[in-house]
Amino acid sequence: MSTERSRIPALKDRVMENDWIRFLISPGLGIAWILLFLFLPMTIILVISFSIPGDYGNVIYEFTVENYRRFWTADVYQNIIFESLLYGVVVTLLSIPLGYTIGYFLGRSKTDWKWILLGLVVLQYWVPFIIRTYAWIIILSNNGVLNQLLLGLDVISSPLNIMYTDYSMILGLTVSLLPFMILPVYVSVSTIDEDQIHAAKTLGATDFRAFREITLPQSMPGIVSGVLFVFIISAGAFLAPVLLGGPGTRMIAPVIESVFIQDFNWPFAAALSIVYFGIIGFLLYLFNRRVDLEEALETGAT
Amino acid sequence: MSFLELDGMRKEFGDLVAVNGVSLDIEEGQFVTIVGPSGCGKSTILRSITGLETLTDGEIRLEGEDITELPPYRRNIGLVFQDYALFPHKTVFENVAFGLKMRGAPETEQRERVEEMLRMVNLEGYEEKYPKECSGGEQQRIAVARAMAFDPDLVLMDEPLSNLDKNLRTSIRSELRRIQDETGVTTIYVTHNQNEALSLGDKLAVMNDGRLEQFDEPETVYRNPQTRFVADFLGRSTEVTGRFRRDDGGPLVELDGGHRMRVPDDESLGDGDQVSLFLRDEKLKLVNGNRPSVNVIEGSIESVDYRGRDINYFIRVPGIDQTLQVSHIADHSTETFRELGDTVAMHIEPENVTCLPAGDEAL
Repeated sequence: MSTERSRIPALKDRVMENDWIRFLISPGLGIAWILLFLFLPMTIILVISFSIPGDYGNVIYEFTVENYRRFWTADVYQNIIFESLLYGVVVTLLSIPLGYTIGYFLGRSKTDWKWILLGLVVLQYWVPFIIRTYAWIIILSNNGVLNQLLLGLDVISSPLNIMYTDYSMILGLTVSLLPFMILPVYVSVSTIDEDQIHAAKTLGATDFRAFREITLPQSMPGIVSGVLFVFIISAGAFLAPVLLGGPGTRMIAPVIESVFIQDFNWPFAAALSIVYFGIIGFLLYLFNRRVDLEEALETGAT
Repeated sequence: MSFLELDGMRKEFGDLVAVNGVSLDIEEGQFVTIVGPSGCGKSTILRSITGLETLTDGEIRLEGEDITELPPYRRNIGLVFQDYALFPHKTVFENVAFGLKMRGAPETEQRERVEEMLRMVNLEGYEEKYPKECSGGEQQRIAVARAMAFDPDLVLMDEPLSNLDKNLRTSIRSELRRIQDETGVTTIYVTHNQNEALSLGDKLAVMNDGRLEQFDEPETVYRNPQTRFVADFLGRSTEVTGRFRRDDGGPLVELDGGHRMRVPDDESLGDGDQVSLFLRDEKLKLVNGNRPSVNVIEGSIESVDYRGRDINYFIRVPGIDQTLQVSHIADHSTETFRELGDTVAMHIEPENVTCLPAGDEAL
C-alpha cells in the first residue's frame, strides 16, 4: 500500500525532470505552435497577395499592389464582402433568441435528462454538412415535406419557393450554428447560483425582473462568445451558400474559392482573403472596445 | 393574534415529508431560533415563509393576513442565505439597494438607506466594492444589510454563520444580536449549532424529522426538555433506562442495573412506567469526601479527555452496563486529576435529572 502511494510523487518527479516533457508543456512551445500553424500560413498568403499572377496559374514573386487596386476599383467584390457580413449579422441575430432560449432552459433545468438533451444539441455534428443539406432539400423543396404539409392543410395554394434561396441558406446556417450559441449560454447560465434568483425574488423582484437584473447580465459572457462564434463562422460560410443558397446568394468564401480554383489567380484570391481577414479583425477590434472580450471568453468558459 | 402564525405547515417532496404539521406563534420583535439536525425541515420552513417553497398544506399568517399563496416578491420578508447569494456582478451598493430599487425608491432615498445600513453592519465606504473583493465575514454582513435595507416585516436567516471560521462566528453572532436589538425587527434564525441556538434567541424551537419538538425560552428548553430528542440533542448527556415508582421519599427510578435514582416528580408518570433518564455531563459531580445520601453512582474511569477548561471523564458503571460522561472543571490549578482505572463516585442532584417516558418520541 504505502510503497505504491509513494511511487506516484516519484513518478511525477521523474516526468517533470524529463526535459522533453517539460519542453512539450512549456509556454514557448505553445507560441511556436501558433507561429507554425497560424502566423506562417498567414504570412505566406500575405506574400502571395502582393505578387503577380502568372499566365498558367503560377505565382510570380514580384512586389505589386495591383491585386488590392483591383479589389478597390471593382465594386463587385466589396459588395460581396458586405453581403457576407450582412448574412452573418442576420444569422447571428436569429441565433441569439433561439440559442439563448435553449441554453437558458438547459442551464436552469434540473432534469436527469440534461446530458441527453445536451448531446442532442451537438448530435447534428455527427452528420456531415453535405448530408444535412439533403435533409433540408427533403423538407424545403417545392414538393418537399413542408410544402406538401402546407398544401394538404390548404394554408397555401401553390408551393413556396424556399429551397435554393437566401432563406434556405440562412435557415441552414442558423440551425447548424445554433450549438455555438447554445453551449456558451448554457455554461454561463448554469454557473449562476439559483439562490441569487431566489434572493432577488425575496427582495421584491418578479420573475421577469429577476431574469433581467440577475440572469441576463451574468449570461452576457455566454452571449458574447456565442455571437463571436456564430458571426465569424456564418459570414465566412462556404458550404451553405454553395449547397443551400440560390443563384443570387453571393458570399465571400465561395468567391475566393472560385478565384483560386477556377481562375487560378492565387495572388488575387490571397488579396481577397487578406482584405476579408482585415475587415473581420477590425470588427473584432470594435467589438472588443465595447465588450471586454478576454473577460467574456474567460467567464464564458468557466 | 400573534405577529406571525405558522399553522399546521406541511411540505412534501415526493414521498419525503420535509415538514410535518408544524405550528408556531411568533410575537413582533422576537428573535426566534430554530435548531435541529440537518434535514429536519428547518430550512424548508424558512423557504416556505418567504414563498420560495409552496406548502403542501397549512397556512402562514403575517399580522393576521394569510400570505400562504402570495408570491415571494409581494411578501416583504428578508432572507439571509447560507452562502449569502450576493449578486457578483453588482456592487455592494447595488446589492444592498436592490430591495429598495425593486420597490421603486428614488435614488436619494436608496443612497441614504444603504449608507445607514452599511454603518449598521460596520462597512462604511464599501459601496463601490464588489462582493468578491470582500472577505467572508464582510459578505455575510452585506447579506444581512441587503435583507434589512428595504424595511421588511420579518427577517429570516438560514444558517448565516456556517461558512465562517469559529472566531468570526462568535463576533458576528453578537453583532447580529445587536443589530436585531437596534432595529427591533422580528427575526427567525435557523441553525444546526446549539451554541448559536441557545445564545441568540428570545425563543428556541427544536425540530426533528419534520416535527416541532419543543418551543420555549432557551433556558427552559435546556433545563426542562419535553422530549427525549431535545434532552439528547442539547448539551451532552447519557441516557439510562429504568422503571418509575413512588415510595415514602418521593418519586424514584430503579435503573435496570439495580441503582436507585431520586427524580423530580412528574404527574404523568405512574408506578412501573418505563422511563429514560438523561444525566448531563456538567450536572454529574465527582464525590469528594462527604457522600450524599442519594443519587450516587460508582464506577471506574475508562478514559480521560483533557480539554483545557475542563476535563472529561468517561466512567464505566458495571451495574447498569453503561459509560457515563462527567465534565469536571478543576477548582485549583494544582488539583491532581483522577487516573485511568480509578474507582470514583458520582452524584447528581435529583432536580437536575431529566426523566422522560421511554420509547415515546412526542409527549
